[in-house]
Amino acid sequence: MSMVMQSVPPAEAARSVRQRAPLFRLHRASIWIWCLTLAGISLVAVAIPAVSAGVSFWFYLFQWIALASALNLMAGTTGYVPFGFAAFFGIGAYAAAGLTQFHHAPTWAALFGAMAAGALLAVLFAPTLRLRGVFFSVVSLSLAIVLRSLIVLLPEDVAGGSSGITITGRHDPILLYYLMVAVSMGSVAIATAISVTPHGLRLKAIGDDLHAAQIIGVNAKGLRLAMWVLSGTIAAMCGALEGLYSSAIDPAAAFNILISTKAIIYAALGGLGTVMGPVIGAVIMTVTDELIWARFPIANLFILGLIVSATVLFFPRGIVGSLLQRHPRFRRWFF
Amino acid sequence: MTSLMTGAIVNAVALGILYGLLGLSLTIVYGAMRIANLAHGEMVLAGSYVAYVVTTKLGYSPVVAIPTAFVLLFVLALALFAVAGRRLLAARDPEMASFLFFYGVSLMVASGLLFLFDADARSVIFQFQPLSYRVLGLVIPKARVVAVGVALLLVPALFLFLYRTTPGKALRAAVMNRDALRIVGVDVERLSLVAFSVSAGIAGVTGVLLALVFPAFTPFSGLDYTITGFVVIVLGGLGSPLGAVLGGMLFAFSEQLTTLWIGQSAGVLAGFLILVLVVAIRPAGLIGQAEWKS
Repeated sequence: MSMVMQSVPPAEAARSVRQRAPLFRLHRASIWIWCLTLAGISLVAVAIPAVSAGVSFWFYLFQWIALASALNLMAGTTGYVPFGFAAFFGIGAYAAAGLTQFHHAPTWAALFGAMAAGALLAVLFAPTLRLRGVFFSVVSLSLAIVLRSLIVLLPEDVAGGSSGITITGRHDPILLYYLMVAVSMGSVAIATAISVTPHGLRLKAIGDDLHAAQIIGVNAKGLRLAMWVLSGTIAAMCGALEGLYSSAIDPAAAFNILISTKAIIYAALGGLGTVMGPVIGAVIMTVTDELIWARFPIANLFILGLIVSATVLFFPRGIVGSLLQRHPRFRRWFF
Repeated sequence: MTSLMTGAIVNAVALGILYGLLGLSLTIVYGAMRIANLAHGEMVLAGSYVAYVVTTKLGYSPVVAIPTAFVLLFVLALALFAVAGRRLLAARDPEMASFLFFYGVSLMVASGLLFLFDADARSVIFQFQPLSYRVLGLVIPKARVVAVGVALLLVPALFLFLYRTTPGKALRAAVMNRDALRIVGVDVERLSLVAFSVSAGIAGVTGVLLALVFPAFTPFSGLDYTITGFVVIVLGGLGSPLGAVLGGMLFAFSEQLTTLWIGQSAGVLAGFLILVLVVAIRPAGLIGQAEWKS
């Protein structure tokens, strides 16, 4: 005992503990800086319609930020990668378009309908959370396909059949854009709030080792379900806003598998399991997409594929994740 | 009605064996490497395009396309494994990393095919003599007979490979316990290379056979094949060769019979609903792990 005490003098031991302990704890200022950044982005977003000719690019930029963050809520922390994420987007689009076109609901009612539909669908799909890994991804994907086929089979005055729904009433695109900004910033704010509270730690524990987390008393099933419903609801709202914005939806576009995969890719590129990652990934990829799409329409998919594969091979943890792994001291500032 | 019924059953058997082949090649890779090959459908599709080039462009018999597709896909898979194999196997979560990696590959292959062959549907043009057989009042196209015949040769051959040869036994052992396999001195990386290339080759052959049965395909048909393949192996039980064949049959029968009784769009639904049902009751699939243990 005394030998041990001698080999490490108490004062030195205390100092090394003091030095090490805060190394991985988030700096309080970091949260403030991040919140201020989000507020700044929101302010810029509000000003954009005044200075920019069209809001289309910005609308989709915020849509992808929202979708990538929503997906990350589920996939980043618990390790479940829902390839059928498009189901939520699609059901939201259909709920909003159906309510608006066939029941003449006002915008807010259509949005609430879409939110309810997304949450309900998430609860309906909750049994699939018993599955893991590839099983979960495949079943989730098939459920999205089932849902799309069901909507095609529904009567035309309920869901428009195979040709979809065209909304004849006019919606102010600027208003929809502002709503999208709100949804997007809201979902990032929720992700931040979850990450800095003990829930974030619990979710990380589930992602690292489900059984160990359960043994130390983490309510894994409840938390997972909450994340699932939350991410589904956000995706449904994105779908609703996009449906109203484009004012024409059809089954193939609303349930497009690319919606799931792009959200996964954007989040993974930025860094799954981090709050900042999906935002950074979505911004980089949406801008790149815009630049490439404008110049080389055919090469677009190829380059998207190349970026995905290269990211997995060379930055498996994404931009933010790799940065934190190489330079642990940044863990105090980036999360 | 009865002739419609027999027709549907004959179709289901033909499709079932092809779906089984699709699942078999996918399950070999999953079993040996714990890797989910999301680009599998694009490999199958590449086989279909080989069939298109060999028959429609060059005018040879589709039978020539079978070895061509096998060799071409085998070599391409070797190259792909050389680039990515080691990194993927060493990833923190190989299953998810490869899922995403191969999704990227599938996008690249699909856009490559789009660049080479345009977006409109292609079909394989070939002349068989005679064009069709008449059995018990049913007209069965010869192309379908050839496709099923080749599949019926390939499936037992694969089973012989998996159950009677040393590499095949090593592959099945890899499904059970990779670490133990390493301890007894098997070069798991080389085994993975063999598994991946053979699987890609079979996927190419499956593509040729599917092109004979389903006449039209586009550069974006790959995902449908991938999903079918995954549904089939999840139905049967991941990593189980017998399960893949059973899953293929079950999927094809549910699809064909529902199409006959209810309609085309319900046919697609039925297969997926059966998947959800099977997974809810038996998450390991029809014969899941049980088969490997006995």
